Amino acid sequence: MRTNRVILFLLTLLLIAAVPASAQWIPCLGDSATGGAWTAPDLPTIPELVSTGGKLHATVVLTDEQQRLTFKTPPNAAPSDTNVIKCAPQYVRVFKGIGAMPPLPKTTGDYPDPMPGPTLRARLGDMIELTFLNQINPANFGDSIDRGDVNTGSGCDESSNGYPNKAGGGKDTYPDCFHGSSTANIHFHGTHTNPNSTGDNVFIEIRPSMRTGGKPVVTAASVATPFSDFFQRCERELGANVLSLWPHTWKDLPSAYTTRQEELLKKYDMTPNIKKLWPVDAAQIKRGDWPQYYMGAYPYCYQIPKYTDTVFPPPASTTEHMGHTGGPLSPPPQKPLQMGQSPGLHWYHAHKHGSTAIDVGNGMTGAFVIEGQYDDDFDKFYGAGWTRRQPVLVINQIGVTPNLERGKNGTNRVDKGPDFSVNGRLRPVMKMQRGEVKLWRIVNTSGRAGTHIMGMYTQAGQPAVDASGKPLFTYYQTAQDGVQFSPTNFGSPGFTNNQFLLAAGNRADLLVQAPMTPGVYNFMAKNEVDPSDLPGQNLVTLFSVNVTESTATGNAAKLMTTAPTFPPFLQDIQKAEVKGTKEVTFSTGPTFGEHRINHKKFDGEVGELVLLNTVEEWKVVNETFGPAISHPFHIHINPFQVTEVFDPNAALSSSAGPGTLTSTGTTTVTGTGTSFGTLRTGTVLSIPGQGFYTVLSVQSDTSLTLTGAGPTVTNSAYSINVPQYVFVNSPAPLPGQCYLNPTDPSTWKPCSSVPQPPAATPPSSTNNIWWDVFPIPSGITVTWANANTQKIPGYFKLRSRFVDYSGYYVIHCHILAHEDRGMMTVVEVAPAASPYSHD
Amino acid sequence: MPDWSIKIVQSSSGDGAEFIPDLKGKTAGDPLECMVDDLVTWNNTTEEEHQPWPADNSYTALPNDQVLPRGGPNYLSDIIPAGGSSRPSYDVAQPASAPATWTVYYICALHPYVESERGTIIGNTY
Repeated sequence: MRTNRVILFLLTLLLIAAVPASAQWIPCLGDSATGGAWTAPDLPTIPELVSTGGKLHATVVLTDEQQRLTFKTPPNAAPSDTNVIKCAPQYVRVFKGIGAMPPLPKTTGDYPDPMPGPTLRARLGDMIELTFLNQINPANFGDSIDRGDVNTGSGCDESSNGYPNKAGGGKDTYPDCFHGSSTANIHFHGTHTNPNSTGDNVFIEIRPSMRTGGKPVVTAASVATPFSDFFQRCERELGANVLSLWPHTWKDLPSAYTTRQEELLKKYDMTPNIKKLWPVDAAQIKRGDWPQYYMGAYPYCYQIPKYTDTVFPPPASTTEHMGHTGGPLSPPPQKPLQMGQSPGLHWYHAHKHGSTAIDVGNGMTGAFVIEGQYDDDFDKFYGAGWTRRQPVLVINQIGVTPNLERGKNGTNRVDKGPDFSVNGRLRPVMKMQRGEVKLWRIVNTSGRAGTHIMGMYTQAGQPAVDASGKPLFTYYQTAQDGVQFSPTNFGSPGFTNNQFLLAAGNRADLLVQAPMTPGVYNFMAKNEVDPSDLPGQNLVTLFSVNVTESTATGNAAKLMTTAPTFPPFLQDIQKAEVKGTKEVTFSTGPTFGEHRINHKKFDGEVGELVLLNTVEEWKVVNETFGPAISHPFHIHINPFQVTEVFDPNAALSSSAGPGTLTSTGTTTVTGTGTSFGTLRTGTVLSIPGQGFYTVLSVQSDTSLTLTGAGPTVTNSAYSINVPQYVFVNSPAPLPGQCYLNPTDPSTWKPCSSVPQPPAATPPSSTNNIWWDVFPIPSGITVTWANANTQKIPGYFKLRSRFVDYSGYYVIHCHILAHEDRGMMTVVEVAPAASPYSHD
Repeated sequence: MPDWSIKIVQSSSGDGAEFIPDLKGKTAGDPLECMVDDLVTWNNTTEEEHQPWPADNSYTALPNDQVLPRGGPNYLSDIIPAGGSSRPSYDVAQPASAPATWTVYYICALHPYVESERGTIIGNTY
């Protein structure tokens, strides 16, 4: 026995010696201890906090811990299922739900694996009462400060790679830079509620609790009494009037809490070399505004409004509106609730300006299921409690410090962000019975890439179809961004087994039926920041489905064909309802990496002003001209409908080009294995990660000239796009193409042959989709005779009802590094019209 | 691209401090092994200020002209207050002409003669 032990010891030493010096990698979940194949992990169920008795009364703790994170190596490898994945213990900031069930899966290594924040589950009409605690130990991360403290540097996070200077070519400056990463708040994405005070307020900043003896001084116990008092009063105030914006002022919070907060903030302000926080709060309180800074704890309290009228618009009411958050104006007579909260899959995430990208990347996201008749109707068909057993699938790109703070000139940066995880796992496996139907509730919480859903594939990477080419799985989309589809769209061919984009922030519900053929199938996607990325992207597995031998029976094996009851307030917005128009411009440039709205970086000032209870139509413009980025537009509080999309880069047809091409940033492109001779002038080459380039002339099968400077690429894949839009009349446009005059902006819009979202036509139309995130088509630089150039922006038009809740919220790009760095502005919804009238 | 934290803790002998990679099983004196362009920060758990500063392989502080300006590629951190963490973050950049594996030696600039206040970071290319 002793001899065996000695041999084992020596073998262990040899094994250790054989491992080359490298990072502190550790075995990943699913790695074989004996060097065998990796085993895909099971899809875990995310613990839930569920409302009872009409309220979601719970505690969410923001803490930090070392988790086992995955990294592709090398980091700049394109996303792929075949990349080498390594794991390392990493400090991350994460949400935990006290008492959330089921318990977290058992840790199988030295460090826990990632898990989204607890799924919040409530019902229309419920009160949301969340005790939010920030117990991060900020010293486990690099120093990251709140108020642009300049004594020790720029006020931004800093790195020895030079950040914040030369960030993407320019320079980031406070407050539009990465900073204050352990300070947090929660945005309840998709909720239609009070945007102020203790509602969906993203302007507040809750610092980590100060610590004594290594322990936070602000705890659940220390705020229990004042928060309990507060929640009880909140129930009374909002219970009496769902449209109340209570609490209005700092004095509406319990004095035990506000006094302690003042003490803590003043104590924090004694820290050397920082800008003080309490004077900011004090000035805001004096003005009657809601204060910005808090220490360790915050009570979120708001109601999920339930629309109870059977018609839309609702009959008028004489109730007085008492909701304005401040200001001298008398509130106008209150209208009844104009729109309810849509029941569906919503979500929540960190939204403190300057740290959304890193915090969301760390994993500070979670699903928020709001139940209603939509769920009841599914349960009526599939059985009681069915919807609660359906998989909630939280996609994220989990990682640590953003690319801009590391490496030089793009080296060793992560291409397209970290790999997609689902419920904290890479490529997990879900089980389904043969023929079983499930409702997949998917949210892309990534702060960067869109997930372009490609559909079901076999393990061999082929589309999962039978011998006749019919898909083995059937799925149809039943909701978008937490808003159910209308009966017209429910189960329609256009939304069945379709490929679609889940941009960062988007959600989709899919009603899915498994095939009768057992086996393991992959639900696959591509990374997309812009449609031009797609041709060069690999298929990656989001998750797999293991179809077992057992067979589903009864309704569990039937796709429900009748749409859930459609709430009246979701009927399409009619053109006649529109009372105002706006144009909002997102732009990247002139230096790449400078992101703005209306040519201005975020500064806290109001960028758009809307009158409460009016309907507006906005033209949302993208003046990004390369590399192409379809910035995902997001607005808080109210969803919108899209009525027009103009994508000047749209393709009439697209196909992968043969061979590869090389260009050094000049007009000349050389090919290897190409057949350029077949290309027509005006054809567009789409180059992954680079954008679109128009062919000016063709010299040979391996040489052509572009209309402007080309990309800098070597042996790159590319696709050949026959463009939808052409900007020269000679040669004549192909059938289906549209000519737009580059010198006449009035022609820069979709032509009649391009399908558009269903127009909202009277008397009523209910087949347009509701969104809260929509990618704005990128712009294009076109060149024509005599080398004239013109930049033509992309755009879409939205209509939204700015109803029910006045106050301040934001629009921003949901590529969160763009938001942190300036691509956000404030929307003010004012409760009263101008006092002037000429009637 | 991982981030790493190194704890600055009171020395077990009671004099001065020690640097310990904040990973299970690591002890004072262990190197932090990482990949090129990983980020490293220091977490000062002691009641004194410290400042990681690059050194040569005999733990002699590199002169200012090889380290400054602040925020340059060899600059490890400002002075870290008691209970605080480092700034800027240190990007483990591969020095020019360095081999595929290289070592960054560092000391505490405020206590350069305290032998326990020494550490190493081993960088690797992919």
